[in-house]
Amino acid sequence: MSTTDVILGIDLGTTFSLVAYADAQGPKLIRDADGEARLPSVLGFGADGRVTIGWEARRHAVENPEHTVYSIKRLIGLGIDDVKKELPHLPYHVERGERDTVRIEIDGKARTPQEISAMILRELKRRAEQHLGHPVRKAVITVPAYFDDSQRQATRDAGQIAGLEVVRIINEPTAAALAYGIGARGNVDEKSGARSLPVGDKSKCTGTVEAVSGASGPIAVYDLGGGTFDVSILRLTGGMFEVLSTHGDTHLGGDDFDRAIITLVQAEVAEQFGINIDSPATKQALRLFAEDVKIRLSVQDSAALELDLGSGRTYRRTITRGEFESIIAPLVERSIDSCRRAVADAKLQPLEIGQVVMVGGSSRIPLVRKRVAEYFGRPLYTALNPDEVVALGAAVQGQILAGRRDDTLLLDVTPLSLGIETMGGAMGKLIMRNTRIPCAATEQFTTFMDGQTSVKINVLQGERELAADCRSLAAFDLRGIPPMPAGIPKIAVQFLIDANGILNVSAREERSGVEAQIQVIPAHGLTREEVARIEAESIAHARDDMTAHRLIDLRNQVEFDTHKTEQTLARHGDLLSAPERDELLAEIDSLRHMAATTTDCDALFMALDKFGKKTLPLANLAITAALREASAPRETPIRR
Amino acid sequence: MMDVHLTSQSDAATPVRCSTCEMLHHAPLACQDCHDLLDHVQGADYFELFGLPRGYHVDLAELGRRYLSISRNIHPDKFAAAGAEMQSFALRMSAAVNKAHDVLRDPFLRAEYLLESVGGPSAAQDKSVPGTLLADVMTLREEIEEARDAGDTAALQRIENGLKRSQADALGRIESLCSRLDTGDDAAKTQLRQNLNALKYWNNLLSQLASVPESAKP
Repeated sequence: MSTTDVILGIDLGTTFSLVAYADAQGPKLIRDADGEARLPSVLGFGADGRVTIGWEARRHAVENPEHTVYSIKRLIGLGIDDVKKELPHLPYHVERGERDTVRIEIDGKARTPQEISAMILRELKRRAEQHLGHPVRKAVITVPAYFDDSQRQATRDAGQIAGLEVVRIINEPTAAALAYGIGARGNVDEKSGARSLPVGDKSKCTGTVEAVSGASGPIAVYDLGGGTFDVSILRLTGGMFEVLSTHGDTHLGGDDFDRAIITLVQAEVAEQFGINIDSPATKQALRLFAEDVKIRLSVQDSAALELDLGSGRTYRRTITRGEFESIIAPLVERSIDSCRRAVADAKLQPLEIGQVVMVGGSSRIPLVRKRVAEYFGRPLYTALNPDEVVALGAAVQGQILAGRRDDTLLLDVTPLSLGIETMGGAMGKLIMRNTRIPCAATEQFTTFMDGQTSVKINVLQGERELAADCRSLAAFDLRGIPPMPAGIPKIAVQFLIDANGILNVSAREERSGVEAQIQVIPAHGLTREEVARIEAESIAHARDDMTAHRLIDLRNQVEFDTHKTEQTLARHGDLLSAPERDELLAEIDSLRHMAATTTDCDALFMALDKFGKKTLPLANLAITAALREASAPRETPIRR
Repeated sequence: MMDVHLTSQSDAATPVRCSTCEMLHHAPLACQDCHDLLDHVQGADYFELFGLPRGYHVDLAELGRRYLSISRNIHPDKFAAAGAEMQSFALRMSAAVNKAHDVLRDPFLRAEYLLESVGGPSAAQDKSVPGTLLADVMTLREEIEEARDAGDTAALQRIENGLKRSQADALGRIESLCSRLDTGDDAAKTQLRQNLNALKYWNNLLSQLASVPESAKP
């Protein structure tokens, strides 16, 4: 197998991101030295310009609150006005960018959520390359099924900025279903409570598609992650994964449960001590604290909280699972509402669902499991590792796209209706939600004025009747229409949603046959030109960063090697002749001088290598001397 | 690997020559020998596309099986390694097949399609409905609203049952009218149009009843 066409499967999560690949034995996660596949989606921006990603950034979040970025997925592909409710919870600075986009500002440098996400993706790519031992260029990246066109496009742009060819964007619950269907489970961790509930023999997947597709009835995938929620209903038929419907909420997840705890603590602290605890550092601290409480309450009946407020004041209380459940219940009910809609759109009854597959870290919460089991009226399938299964599924999709898995195919749907703004500000639907993708719709447009050569179309996504209540995806400016009297041109515009769930628009004036030019002005995302520019910059930066990194490493090596040689000369210099000693001392000086002055990594590397060879005779003499000393009879006999 | 039979059942279909390997096929979507796609999906008759007999009656299980076997061969995922042109072709073909599948599996859309293909009036051209339907719909809307406000689930259930009966009645008439379309019966076309318009009202009311009120999006 040619190594360069491996397609990675990447789960770019709100809280954690994972990368997997698939080979003939099946999909595999890439783990760190501790066996951990999860990379926290947290970035720490150091004062020296260095960026740390993952566990280390997460550990330093509290001491470095305004320089630590997390939950970027809740901002990607959205306009600044869409995320207003989100902002008070975030300790880092979010600003209004061009066209009301979101910018994260750190130390005077503004970055788009796409660029931040690209940094996470680049780190995952690096890990994969290190593990596989060769460069990787292609990836399948997962998104919540309920992500709209802008959010999908923005995620794909992040991949491009990270130097990845994003061969497919797939939906997280669909990816999970794929992993479930082929029997990949991830590391099932008993301590997290993930275990198989009695669901009958057929659902205990054993590695083949047939093993589970034999399970009767469609399956539901309930995916409650760190920041997003999806439910998808699928039918599995001999390797074919047909999504019947999907519903969700892109702002519902573990983050919201944490915030419910934070709000409770903040209110009680304000009441008892008359102080507001909402500084950036406190926000970061409270977040980690709340997360810990939440996780403890999934396995214990109560958790003790203690918060040192300084000046001898301590906030103490015990939170019971019942209390926690009552504050998160409305959020859990929102997810059940989504389940109802998805089941109705699939034209099914809850009891017709043959299997409920639980995915996402927050699916471990006992209340969530209880309510989902009640709604579907059946035991849940919890044998998959809820954190790992999405990345595994993405890797399987990568294998399908690489042409290495011929027996499996995903047929997904578009989660939201697509339409255009009609006269009077109404939403004219062209493609209904839960339509199988790829799908297309064609609409005719004309001109209102004599000689008009361009027409603007506002493309919307959403279920509401008024254009103002739907999400505007982009303004499409059709240009190059041949001048004709008003109402005469017949411009056929085709809206095509591809297998990524991303919209492609083409237009043609039918009387003249002229292909209209389309200028896309994204409502919240980046223009193609912006993506290309950022990509170019980031490649240049990555190269600069890498050079800087390498230079630092080389200089450290020079310092280490020359110091070591000086020490050896001091101890064993008498084993060399005087000219030999002088030559080495001169070499040390010259190498140090070079390290201090040059920026040419390659030249420094060569000089270091040459120096190493020059010092070899001394090193050998020193080793021989050391051996002789060690084998010499000891002056003090060992007492028996 | 290509286990599926894409060959049409209808003998009337003209054989199509694969432009790449020149093999002749009866209404295939992909050449069974070189696996290249054949460009005759767009604009093709939906029934011919799935090799199903033309008419209101469709064996949904068979349609589902044929849809899957066609998708297996033409989905863009199967052409990820192919050139840009082939990929875009697979994309357009898949969209066309998905559309055909959506139409044929839904009785309303299927009847609309049958009416359209014999040159019958579209919903935009003829908005008429049978008898007192508009008044009935208005009354029902009020009743639904009142029952909802009062939280009267028994009344809502009654309304739903009544609507399902009206829906079934309309579908019954549509079915028999569809069988008269081939005879060039113009009266049948007009009546079918009216009954389809009526069915749309019943469908809308039913989905309105079933819908969980969508909470306001941010």
